[in-house]
Amino acid sequence: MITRLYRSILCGAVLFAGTFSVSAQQTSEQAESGADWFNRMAKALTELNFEASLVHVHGDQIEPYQWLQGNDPEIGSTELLIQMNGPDFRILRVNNKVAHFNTSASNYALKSDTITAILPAAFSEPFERLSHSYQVMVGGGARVLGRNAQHIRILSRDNQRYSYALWIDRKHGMPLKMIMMNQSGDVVEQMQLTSLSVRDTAPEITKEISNIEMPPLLKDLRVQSATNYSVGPRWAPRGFKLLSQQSHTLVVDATPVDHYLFSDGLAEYSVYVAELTEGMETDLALSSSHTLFSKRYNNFLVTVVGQVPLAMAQRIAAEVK
Amino acid sequence: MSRNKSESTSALFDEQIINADEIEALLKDEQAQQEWHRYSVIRAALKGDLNSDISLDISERVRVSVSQESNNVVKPGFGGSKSQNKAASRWFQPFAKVAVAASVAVVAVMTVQTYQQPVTPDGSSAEPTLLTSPIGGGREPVSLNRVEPMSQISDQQRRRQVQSYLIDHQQQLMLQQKAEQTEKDEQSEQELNKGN
Repeated sequence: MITRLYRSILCGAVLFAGTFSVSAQQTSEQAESGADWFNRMAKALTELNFEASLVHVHGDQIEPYQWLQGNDPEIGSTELLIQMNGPDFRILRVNNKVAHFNTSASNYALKSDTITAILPAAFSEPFERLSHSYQVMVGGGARVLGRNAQHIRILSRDNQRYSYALWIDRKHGMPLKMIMMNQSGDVVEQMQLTSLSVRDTAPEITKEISNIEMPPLLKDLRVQSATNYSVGPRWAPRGFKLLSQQSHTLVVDATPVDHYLFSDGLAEYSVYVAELTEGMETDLALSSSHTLFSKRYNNFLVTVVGQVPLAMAQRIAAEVK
Repeated sequence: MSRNKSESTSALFDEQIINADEIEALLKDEQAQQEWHRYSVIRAALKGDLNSDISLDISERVRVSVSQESNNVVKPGFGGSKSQNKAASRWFQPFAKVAVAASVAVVAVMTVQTYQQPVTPDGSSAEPTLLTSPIGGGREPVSLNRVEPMSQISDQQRRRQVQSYLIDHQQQLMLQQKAEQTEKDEQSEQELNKGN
């Protein structure tokens, strides 16, 4: 009898321990596969041959696009994004040159290996580059665009930044749907593919577009000069690094400003310090996919602009001294 | 008695009596003859005595339709519709290039007039002319929270101020992206050099 009891206890203990270790294993597997899904997407966004159409929604605007990408052993990597409503606007990437063709401004080219108009550049890079500030959660499956999709979420570790919900095609790794949310879960920006055809070889048209004459490469004509004022940002949220600091004048109203640019790999923000002059509005706040917050500090106007929630922008501005 | 040709052919085939004029007309009509041929093939098939070497000659029709179609050369497909294909391939037509270039010139002049371009002492523009929020002006303020009530006159000034910061931020991002890329290139070059 006693032996029996003993045995059952032992058995129970073993079972319990077993369950425990299995669940622990599951958690680590889950975390791993989240990054794996992200990396699969990054791979698809750089290597896949596809033709797609999509809609991009931000604020009260909804914009349809055509999007295609091809990788040809002879031509290399090409990508094309065409805005389908309003003035004809298209972005063409041939390898690491991105050309912007616009009917309402001069055409120009930049050196870059991603088109960042819809998806952040970080989505084409391994997740490791974001892991200091973000984590990936694996959700369930869902049917998106008639396909079997895997839901993942990219959340900031401090829960103070915009987060992303992504639905990734299980077969090819393409992002089929994206929602960017603020920290209270309100939708800020959305993208949804409306058609997707994945090809074995580069779409025919990429052969033609690779022969297009590229517009002049945008030279950095700005005179890079050091910051003028003693006032500057003294604090940045964890994970944000200072990328550049210099002084220049704003294009639209020619205000001279000190400019600081910060990035955490996914989100970026700018801090501007300008000498206060008459007619300048001092207390401004607006929040959409980009937040702007202005406040007065002594004789200066401090402005924070970027893809960060308003509360964070306020905190950053408060720490400019 | 007036019947159309199909009906006549059908009637004749069913061994109904039609008048001589109609037969005459049918014999002259090539379409009716082909119809006759098809009817006979169908009947043979229904009766099960279809000879395997009776062929429906469609090659002629295919050839004709192909020669007609080949006039409309289909450009490599980008989207489903013709207009999409047309739009996508517009780049590659030299005359369209000129038209686009002309319109760009007009708009570029307007842009320069609207936005003051700061000019460096040597006379060249310090800022590159570029539209930094090219995607549908996507960074439009969605809500503008007024901290204190303002007059309508300052509303324009405020908008201008907001826009100028938003645009400048976009511009900085692009230039930064370029700087990063250059850095990356340099790094990979260095690595290559190390490899050598």
